[in-house]
Amino acid sequence: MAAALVGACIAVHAHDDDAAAAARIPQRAALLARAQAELERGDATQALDDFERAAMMLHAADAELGLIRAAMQDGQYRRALAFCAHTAGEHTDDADGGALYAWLLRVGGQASQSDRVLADARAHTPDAPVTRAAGAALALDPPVATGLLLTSPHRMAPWPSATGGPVPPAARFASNAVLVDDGRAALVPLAALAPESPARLWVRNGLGQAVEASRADDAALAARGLARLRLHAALPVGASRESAGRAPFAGSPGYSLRFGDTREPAWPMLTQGFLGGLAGAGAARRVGFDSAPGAPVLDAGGALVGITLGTTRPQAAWLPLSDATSAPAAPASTAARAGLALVAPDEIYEAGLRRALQVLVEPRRASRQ
Amino acid sequence: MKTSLLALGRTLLAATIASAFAGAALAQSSTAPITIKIIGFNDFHGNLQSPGTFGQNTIVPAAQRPAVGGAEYIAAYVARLKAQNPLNVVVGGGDFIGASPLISALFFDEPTVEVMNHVGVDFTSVGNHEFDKGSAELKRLQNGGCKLTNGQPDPNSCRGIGSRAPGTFDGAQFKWLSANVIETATGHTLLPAYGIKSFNGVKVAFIGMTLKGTPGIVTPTGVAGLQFQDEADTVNALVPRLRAQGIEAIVVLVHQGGFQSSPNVGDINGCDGNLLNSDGSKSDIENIVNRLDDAVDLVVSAHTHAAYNCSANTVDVKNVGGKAQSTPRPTGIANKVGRLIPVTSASAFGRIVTDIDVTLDPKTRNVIAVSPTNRLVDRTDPAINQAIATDPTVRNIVQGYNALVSPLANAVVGTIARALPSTAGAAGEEPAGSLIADAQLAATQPASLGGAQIAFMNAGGVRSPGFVSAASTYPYALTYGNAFTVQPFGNSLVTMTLTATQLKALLEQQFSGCAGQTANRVMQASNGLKYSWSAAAPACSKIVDVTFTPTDVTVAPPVVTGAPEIVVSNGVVQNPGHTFRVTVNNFMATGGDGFTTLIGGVNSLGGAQDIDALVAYLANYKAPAAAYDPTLPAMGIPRVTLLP
Repeated sequence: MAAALVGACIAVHAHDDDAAAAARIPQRAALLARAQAELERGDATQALDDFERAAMMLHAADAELGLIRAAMQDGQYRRALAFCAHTAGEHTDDADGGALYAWLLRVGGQASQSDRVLADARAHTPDAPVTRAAGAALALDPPVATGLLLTSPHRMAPWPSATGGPVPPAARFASNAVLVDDGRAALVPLAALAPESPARLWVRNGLGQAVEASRADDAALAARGLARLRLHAALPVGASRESAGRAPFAGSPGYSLRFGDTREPAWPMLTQGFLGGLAGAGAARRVGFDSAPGAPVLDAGGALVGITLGTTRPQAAWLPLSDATSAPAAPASTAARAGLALVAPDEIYEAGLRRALQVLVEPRRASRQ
Repeated sequence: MKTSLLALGRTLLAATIASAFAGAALAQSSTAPITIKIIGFNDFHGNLQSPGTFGQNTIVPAAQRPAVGGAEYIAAYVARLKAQNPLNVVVGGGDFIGASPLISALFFDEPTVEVMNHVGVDFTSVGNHEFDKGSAELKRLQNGGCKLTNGQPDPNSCRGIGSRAPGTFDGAQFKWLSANVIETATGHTLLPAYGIKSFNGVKVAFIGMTLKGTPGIVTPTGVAGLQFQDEADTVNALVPRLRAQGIEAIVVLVHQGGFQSSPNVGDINGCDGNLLNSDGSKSDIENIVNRLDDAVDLVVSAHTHAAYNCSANTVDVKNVGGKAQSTPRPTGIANKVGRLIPVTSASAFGRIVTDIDVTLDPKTRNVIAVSPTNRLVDRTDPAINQAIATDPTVRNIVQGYNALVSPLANAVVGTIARALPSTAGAAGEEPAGSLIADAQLAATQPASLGGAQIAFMNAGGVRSPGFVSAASTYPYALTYGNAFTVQPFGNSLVTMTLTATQLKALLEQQFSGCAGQTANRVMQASNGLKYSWSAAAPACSKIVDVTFTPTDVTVAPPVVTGAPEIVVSNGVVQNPGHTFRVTVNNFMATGGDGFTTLIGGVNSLGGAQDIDALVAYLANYKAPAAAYDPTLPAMGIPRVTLLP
């Protein structure tokens, strides 16, 4: 069916008035509508395919923005970011491109570049509601998309995709958490589940994929202030790696991804800095950047290595996975890192999108305030 | 007058056959047709890293499309094509830069220019995005030199990873061409209108230009003082000038294009719908080609990011039961006399390169055949990956800039109260080296991390200029980038046990002539160790006194934790069997810099990388904590004393 649609399509030249040109291609409009529907139901692969076909018919912002959001829905942050750089620079009359690029840069750890891009977008489209709304949201730490920024075509978040049934409207954001055990379990700060255990709870990753979970007994973890959640269905881990090896040495680059206080699907925000040494007599270690309890900690290569315990510097701390899971510690890698011993944060962010989780809880009594 | 493509093909076949009958000698004579290879791509937009996956056509399921692109892959594919024919030229269709990802944009697109120099691009047309930052900036990218911001060198310019020296930007070694872009002040083209390359004495001209509508899609400041003229008129006006130079083979590189449409599946070597618009009207590129002088033999187009190949090699690819059914359909776009001209485009972002074999008649200097093929820049090709492994130059440039994109590169890791250069004093002690040795001791001092008591750093591993402020202002906040400049090798730390005898032997081995040492190589010692050496004493007998005072360097300032111990007195080891835990880097641990004594160390334990140790140590000296000050008595400097 897709091929038939494409086969019937007729292309037009670029840099005509995009809206008018698009309107002259009804098949393209149908393809875009179908791609958007696929995206909104979480079928990122098919959406990518159809947006790409639409992009082959007309060089216009709408299909490119769809491609970018579909790539994000699919966890391809680097592809989305690179394409969005082009869209923001090419279609400067379309405020969505600049606003989305600023958003993606910010959540990916490029705050100063985000500010610059947003300023450029405001200069080109000073009256665009999307740039005003994005500017207000990006002033938050971390940014949270609300209102206009959750509506199509301005959405700054993944679309929900529940593999175990929809998350009920009464569910609220309780904490960040970390996906472990090949996607079958999550670690969450024990405090997030207090004072009383929720009736039901869900976890949702940075791709908008949610699944119900149950608390599993783990006394050793509880002693460290953590709880283990057993996922009713596994969430994908993609190519992201989970390291049970010895914790990264103090002074090495470290990263964390955390969500803001929202029950809506969201893209987490990356923070970065350098990991520290032991934070006292226990296994916790210092961390040189702000985070939130329950957020994943990734090492210089993007491997998941731990979970954050504290919040802001200088009290910020994290616990290596090897200590959280009682797994035998393998020797730390001493392989030389090339060049500046840094990878760009976009690679880290892409690795962490599936590891960072929102914990959503439904109170035991629905009428509870 | 030229003949049709099909007729030309027959001519070529006849010529080839004639050559075959005439034998090799005749085939290589000056009258035999010669084939050159034109390698083209367009709309790269600074995509130094892969833009994702891409399919040969839309039948290929998304999951089966290979990852494509990336600068090192383009370089490798171009190198492969060049190797197939030494008579080659690499060309672009514009928009190499602009609207580019951070890895290029943050550095003013200098990384892309540097990479294209290494790819070996010869000529490219300008595109509309070459004007995003104005004509003066485009000229800077062409000619080289650092970007100035508010009159000062911009810190993100001239990083020089792909230039000839750090701190420089070479500019483009290829030529940007702008035949239809006129500076109103001078009446001349902004950049050369065309470039010429000669193949076995036959000259081929490449005319480059952007779309005349560029001012409508670029910010006004970007095109201030420039006029953009009609594309076809520009080419046609140049033809007599080129012919006057004996040139009959003319290629147009134009930043304008079209799209494939009905009725097929958009194969990268298709020309579906002959690039017509939706209403059946002519596309922009067709409007240009239809008016071109018959002297033009090939058009390399761009701008729409579409892939197409309207030529003798066009294929119609249909979806038949989910499988591609390919049917050859030689075509092209008619020029002003109705001759079909090959028109190509290679998508965008480095996904595709166009491989064009052009056959020339050396006698008439005319083009007698054009055979283009669009090829995916497929990152899964084993031979290409092997080629990149063999020559990682471009990959290294990309990785270098990728690291610089990280905000951590400019993150402050500590503060120094005064300059700590890497230059050695008379005794061999370097201010930067002392800090590094302390950092390595701190990283391995806890019992669980090695229990080290002493650390040594080889002086050759402390890179110039040490820890200094470029502006000579102190206290200075050191960045991760500064730290890496001094510790770039990625060595890891090794803690081992040495006896006092081995420790003295190690210290003796610092000096030329002792145990195979070929030069004086004074190690940098950590806090708590002090020794003296005699310049006049013979080799292997230079160490006079050595004392060790246990010192905790994990706190700031360091704290003495035990009584001093005399290890060597007047050249005599006092307690030969006494052991010390000593940290060095893995280079030294394996005998590097001639320190073969270290090979005899026992109970070795691997540790952190040197740069990590340095960052962790400096965290104790980061504001609001007091700055690192080597003059504080607690630092125990000097640690080495030179005796007559």
